Amino acid sequence: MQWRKWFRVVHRDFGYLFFGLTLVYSISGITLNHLDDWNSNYIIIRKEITLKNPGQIYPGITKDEVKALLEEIGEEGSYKNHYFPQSDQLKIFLKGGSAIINTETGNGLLERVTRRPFFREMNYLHYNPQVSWTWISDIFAGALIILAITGLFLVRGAKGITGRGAWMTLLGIIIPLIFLLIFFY
Amino acid sequence: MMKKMTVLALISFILVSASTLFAQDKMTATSTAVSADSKVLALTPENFQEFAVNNVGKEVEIQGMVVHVCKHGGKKLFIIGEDPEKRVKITTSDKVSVFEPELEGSTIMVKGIIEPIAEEELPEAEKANQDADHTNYYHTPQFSISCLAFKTIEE
Repeated sequence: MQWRKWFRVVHRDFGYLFFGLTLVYSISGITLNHLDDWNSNYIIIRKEITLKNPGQIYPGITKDEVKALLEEIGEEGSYKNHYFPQSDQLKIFLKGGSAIINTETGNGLLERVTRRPFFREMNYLHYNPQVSWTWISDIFAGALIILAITGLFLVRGAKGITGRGAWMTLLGIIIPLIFLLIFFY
Repeated sequence: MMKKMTVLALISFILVSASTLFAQDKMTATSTAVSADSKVLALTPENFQEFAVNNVGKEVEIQGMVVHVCKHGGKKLFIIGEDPEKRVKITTSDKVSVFEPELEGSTIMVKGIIEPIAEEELPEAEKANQDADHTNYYHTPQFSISCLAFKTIEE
């Protein structure tokens, strides 16, 4: 039948056209699903540090004095700014990171932040950053619907939608329904 | 051959146009909107919360040092003024879609709209990973500013 031929054409060409976006949304979907376990946007490296003379830290500490403190951990060239989030904590902003130090014990944590390439860009798109991108993502969503529907009718016979395909399609619908019945209703 | 070249050229044109469009949005948002405007009220982090109570929806300007940029997507940051206890939450909008972590420690001027916020509940896993700056303190302010544009005053 003519319609089956057109379904094949549309499924094929949409498959090519939306291959890239499918990967973007799928991969970023996985990473965003596991944001609690793995930061896909940034690589954050934490290192414990200890300053020998925390007694030098006082509420009005100057920029130069903070830089002198940073010499102990080899970060004097990275100084950007500092402030006291709490009375016993000094936070020092560095180029590419920060350090937070307990002013009583001298113990602290140095944190370095770098961007994670590719994942960060994919997550940015997935988060729908601009109104203009909303149009593209809506078109993509529509294309996925078309891909899903046309995909049902690509194959004829025992392995098509009138045969085994019907059971697999039904299974794919039942699984989320069971989840909803258990956890939602 | 010609057909393939035409298709390739069309795709390239779309990609370049899209990237130009996104770049323009970002440049406009960050370089032109924060200018002297007598109708936009200038606030400080110290007086923001008090002012915000009766002025939700109003456009304001506020300047402060960035003390935290959210590392999960860069969708919010916090600024302070002279008093480190008085933090103001700044969120992204359609005009400014992401805040870079390099903003931490910089002084910025923000132009945006006052919005009410509900107290956020952090998941337990996220609470455990946060430093002193990212305790629930950050999630108790009642009002925030949806950023229309910002300018770095001091890096």
